[in-house]
Amino acid sequence: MVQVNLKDYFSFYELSPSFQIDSSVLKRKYIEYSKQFHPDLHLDDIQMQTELMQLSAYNNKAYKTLKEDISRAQYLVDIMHPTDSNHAIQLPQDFLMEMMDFNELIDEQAIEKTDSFGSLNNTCLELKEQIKTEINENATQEHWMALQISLLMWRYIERLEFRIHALN
Amino acid sequence: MAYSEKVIDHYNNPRNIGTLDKNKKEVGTGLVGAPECGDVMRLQIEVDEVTGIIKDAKFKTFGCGSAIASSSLATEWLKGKSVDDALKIDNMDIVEELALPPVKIHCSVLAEDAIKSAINDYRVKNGLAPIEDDKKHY
Repeated sequence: MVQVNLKDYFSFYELSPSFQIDSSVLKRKYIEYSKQFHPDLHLDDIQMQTELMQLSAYNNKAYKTLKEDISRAQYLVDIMHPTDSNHAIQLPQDFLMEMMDFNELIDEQAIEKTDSFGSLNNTCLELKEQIKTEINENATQEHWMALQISLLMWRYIERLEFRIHALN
Repeated sequence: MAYSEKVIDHYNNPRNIGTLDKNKKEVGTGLVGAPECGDVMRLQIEVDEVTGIIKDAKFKTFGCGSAIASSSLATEWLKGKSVDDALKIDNMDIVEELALPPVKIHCSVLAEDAIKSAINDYRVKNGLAPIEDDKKHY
């Protein structure tokens, strides 16, 4: 039996659940586990091998989640302040308005094909940076509700980005 | 996932796409989002001041086919209805009409929320109290 803490991804790497983490510890633990859980080490023991494969998969998923700021923030809010459904959250009207206007601009661009791709893209990148800063701040200060909102805004931005790139 | 023919029809030929002048007193605007999927929907009604009948309805939706179809259908249903009758439009009616699968039910909820929000905007503009939503979707 391999003894690890599977309570959550943070505990798994012996990190305390917070947004600011020591990424060198995360990476070191990940590599350590990758070696330790390598299924090929126990080719003779089917049960052990299965267990190791599951742990390997968990290790990969946990590392991928905690490595990136956005997914770490999302994961953190999911374990620290779970909500039943994101439908419960209505985003501010002015944000929705901004998204509506931006989407309409992209539509116009799709029809007119004038060369404003660059400016659309720049505005989108600016917005992205702005929301990213908000996510960082809210996650660091553990303002869960505000963090939920900024993470949902992030989805809108990703979608805009996708649409802009599809134009090009 | 297969869309029903009705969804595809509304998606390919959306009814009543456009904008009404949101500054007009007779126009109510609802702007709602489905943050989960990054959808945003604007639905507007224009009410005849004498009869209280919705004489025009427009929408614009950025979202999946079901969200577009739900709002397109909603505008079709709204035209010619009184504001009070419009309030009775239930998301399950939309689900049924468009044969939406369970994973797309939230698109019809979004359309219903947009209707209610447009009606409330109209009511508030005209000195009436907003209707409390007794049917909480969330």
